Amino acid sequence: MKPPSSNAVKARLIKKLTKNRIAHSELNQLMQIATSDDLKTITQSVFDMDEATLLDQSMVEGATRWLNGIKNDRRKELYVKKIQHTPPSDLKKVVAEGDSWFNYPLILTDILDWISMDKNTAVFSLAAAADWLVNILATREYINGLSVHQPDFFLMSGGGNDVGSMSRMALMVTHRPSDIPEIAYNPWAQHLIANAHQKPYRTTDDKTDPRIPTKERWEQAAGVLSKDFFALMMLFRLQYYQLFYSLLVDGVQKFPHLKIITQGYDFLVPSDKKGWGLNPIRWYVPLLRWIGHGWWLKKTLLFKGHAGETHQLDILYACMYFFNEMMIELEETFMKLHPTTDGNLFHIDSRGLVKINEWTDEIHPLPHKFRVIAQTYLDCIHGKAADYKHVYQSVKRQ
Amino acid sequence: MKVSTLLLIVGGLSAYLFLTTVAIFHGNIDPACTFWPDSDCLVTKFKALSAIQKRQLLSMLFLDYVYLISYSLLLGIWIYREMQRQAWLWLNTWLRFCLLVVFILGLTDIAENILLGQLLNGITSPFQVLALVICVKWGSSAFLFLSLLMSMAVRRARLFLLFR
Repeated sequence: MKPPSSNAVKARLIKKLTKNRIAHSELNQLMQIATSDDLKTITQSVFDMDEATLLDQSMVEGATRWLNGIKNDRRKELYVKKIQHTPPSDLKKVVAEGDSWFNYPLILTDILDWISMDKNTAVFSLAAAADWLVNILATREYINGLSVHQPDFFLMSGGGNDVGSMSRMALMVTHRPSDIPEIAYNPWAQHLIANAHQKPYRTTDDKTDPRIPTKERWEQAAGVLSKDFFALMMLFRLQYYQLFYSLLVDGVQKFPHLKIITQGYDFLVPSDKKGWGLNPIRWYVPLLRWIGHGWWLKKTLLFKGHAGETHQLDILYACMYFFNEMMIELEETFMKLHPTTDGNLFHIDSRGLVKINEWTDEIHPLPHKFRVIAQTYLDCIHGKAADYKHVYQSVKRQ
Repeated sequence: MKVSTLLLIVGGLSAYLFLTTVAIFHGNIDPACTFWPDSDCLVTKFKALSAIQKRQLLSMLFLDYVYLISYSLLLGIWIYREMQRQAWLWLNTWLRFCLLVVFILGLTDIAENILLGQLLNGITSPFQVLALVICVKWGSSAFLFLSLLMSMAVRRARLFLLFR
């Protein structure tokens, strides 16, 4: 049972969250007392839209929806075949919900495609390219999927489009660094950095990877992240908490053996290059770069006056750093708060895997990198040891 | 559109176009000129056509467009599906390249039809270009089918496990 709480306290905490002036302990308190309606209120405030407009904007429609459907239908056929022909003791059933890293309906071989090739893993996909986390959680399509299929694992990849779609990246940064950056007002974000530095795999200060910024560049990039960015990260934290709670604590009778694996994106690369080149194997890169490439990240950052290529890379480094650390810390906290769920939550950390020239477009890696990430999932699904507690790192599997 | 519908369309059109062509040529189809022609062969064959045969061939061109778009699409879907089942990275990448070849195949087939239309209407006589386009078409077809066969053989024999 969640502890009782007055509406006034909740309203005050919500206001503090949306203004990025919430203490770490208050965020933890809000995380445990917020209801679905509270999350809707925060979502509306963070996205600055009423719920109907937001769901309308985030809905996957038109050709994308049609192509998503075709790919998922095909996957369902394969899923049924595996269920029919593989002995249940050898088979791991997986329900997957998420975005284009899980369902890229054109040309690429995405993560779920690679996972599906494993003969002992049957994947039922609800994923849809261009889907937002807010839409995934509002429609709750996965609840039906989980109830019907009773899978061993639930794979979840969401949040990328909430940050990058509809030029939203422009809202994630301020025009110029202020005297006191927003991160300074956010003790939780500072805790994330400290928490990451206590881990053996921390991703800063590694001089061999040019993508990792120097201390000065890091401070510059983190310093331009806006209060909207931190509010969105905190909203994600609350949303994911509620998702985990509803499935692993509230839903423990319904899904007694369910394990959840979350997806962490790699450091995205802002670019508006067309991708022309002499390599015929990568013929599809310029073609796929017609779809939104440049407008997700590069141009929206330019609109906010962040023009330098290195600076843009550093901003995305900081964004993805916080996203991954948020997921890792949330899962650690969740399993501490609910010890019965220990060993049921995992995170796939893809950071540092995809080099700058290994992206199909700004937000999708080339297929061979998706393959490495899929192998990381398979290692987790088939019970291989994690790299750190509940974290599996793709960079160690290439 | 379901793949099975597309398969029916392609199968039906293949049979219809083949039988109609056989009927137009009274059963005399020279495969040497059809599959890997040079311009001289095409000129000889074209000169041998009667006015009625030319008109009959012209009347088939529209259906041929439907056919070539349908079969390119079907071939593209087949290769895409094979790619999504191919776990060996090298062949998976190869099959992705084949999607480009399918596009080239479709384009050459459309170009062939346009040139054939011009030829039969007496607008131009692009025999050399036509011979080249036909060679590219059959070349890319052979490339695609060999790639598909190779991929299926590797997958079924589970040879990709050796290269992981």
